[in-house]
Amino acid sequence: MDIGEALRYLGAANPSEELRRQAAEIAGSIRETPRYTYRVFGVSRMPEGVSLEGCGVVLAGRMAETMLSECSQAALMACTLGAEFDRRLRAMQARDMSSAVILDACGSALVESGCDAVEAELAGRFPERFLTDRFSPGYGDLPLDVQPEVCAALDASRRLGLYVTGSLLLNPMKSVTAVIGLSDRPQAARIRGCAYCRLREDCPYRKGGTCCGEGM
Amino acid sequence: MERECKEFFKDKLLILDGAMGTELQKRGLKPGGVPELLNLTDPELLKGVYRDYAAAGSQVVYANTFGANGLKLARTGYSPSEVIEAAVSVAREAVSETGTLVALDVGPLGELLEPMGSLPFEKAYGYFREMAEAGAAAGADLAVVETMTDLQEARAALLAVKESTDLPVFVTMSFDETGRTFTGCTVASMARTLEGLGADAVGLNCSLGPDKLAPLLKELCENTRLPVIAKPNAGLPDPVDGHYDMGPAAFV
Repeated sequence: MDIGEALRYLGAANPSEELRRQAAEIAGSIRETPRYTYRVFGVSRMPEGVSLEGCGVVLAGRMAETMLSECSQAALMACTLGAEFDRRLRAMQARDMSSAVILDACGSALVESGCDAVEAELAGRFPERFLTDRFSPGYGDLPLDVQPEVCAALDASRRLGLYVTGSLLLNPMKSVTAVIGLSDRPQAARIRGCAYCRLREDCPYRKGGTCCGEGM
Repeated sequence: MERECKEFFKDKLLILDGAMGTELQKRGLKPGGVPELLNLTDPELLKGVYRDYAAAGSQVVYANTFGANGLKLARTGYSPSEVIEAAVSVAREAVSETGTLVALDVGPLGELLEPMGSLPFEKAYGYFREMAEAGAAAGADLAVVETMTDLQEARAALLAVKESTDLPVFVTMSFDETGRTFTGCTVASMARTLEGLGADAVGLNCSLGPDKLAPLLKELCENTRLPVIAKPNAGLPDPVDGHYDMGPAAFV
């Protein structure tokens, strides 16, 4: 797990040595490892959005259309730290709130590292192809209400113990679902990087002459 | 009923069926659909699966009712009792000449119970009760509660079947390599809780292949006097073509 990323989730642009040490210690106490699953589907374009063939998932909106414009296939993925992490986080929130905030950020960084592992596995499985940035329901104009279909297509409750609540949130809390396009040509970054970021105008990292890590 | 259930195990060994979802996918079902609606839309497809399992030696076939609960069917416009009634009679028709038993299959509701999720225990019990009553009315020989990962949910299902019907109940849960379910339940706590609540057999299903299930089965046998059930997965499906990586030989 990337402690720098956990510190960024904490909003610590210039973390003190003490905070770094604390974050590293809390990160080291996490026993959970991210569990993930993914599936690759053919892609076809329909009036209502980009359809992932054979699973009934249709990705509506301009972002999916742009991101997958050059892709003949796309992977759906899901990753979670599981229910046990949530339970520990709740316990920590009752005992020591400042540690809980750090644990929360570490959990976010850890689940993202699981998503990175899926990308690496996909890249290994399709060495001749190029991946798009990954993007998720609720991100940009990709509606959150596709979440139940995405989880059903991945059989996520059986495979990962991952559920969608009535209000379309993922449960356990530290979970991500995402789409990654596969193309025969190198894919331009369309999400990651300062040029594409909505927060670029008043970003605290940019003010300090650096970037957040996604900006690299 | 007590007597009947003992009869199930009179030969010491009761052979259950194999996977339903996998068979349906082999026969063309798309991932992510609602497979329970096939009971109404394509009974012949299902009968083929039941007949094949009965011919292969299954003494029990699981009717296609795994997700036929009020929560999962809510958006389909069908009620659990319609779907379950159809499912049990389709299965019965397919195997009536073989003496094979037909089980009401009860899977997880698809939402987490409190406190991890927002579904109250009483509501979960209500959904399971609705299934159990429909299954008994449709003439199922027994109920199997399977693929549970939360002991609370397994309890709700077991209690609902026991309290509203006379059907024998088998309960199986899914464990990973760590010997726990996704929500942290161990084999020993499952076995002791479910035996205490009156399950007729307990066991393990899904998640792991036969090779990795063996040590967990040993732990299960050490913690219960009930007949035990093993219903492993054929490994994991390939992310690209969706096929499972183990063939029938791995189960022998």
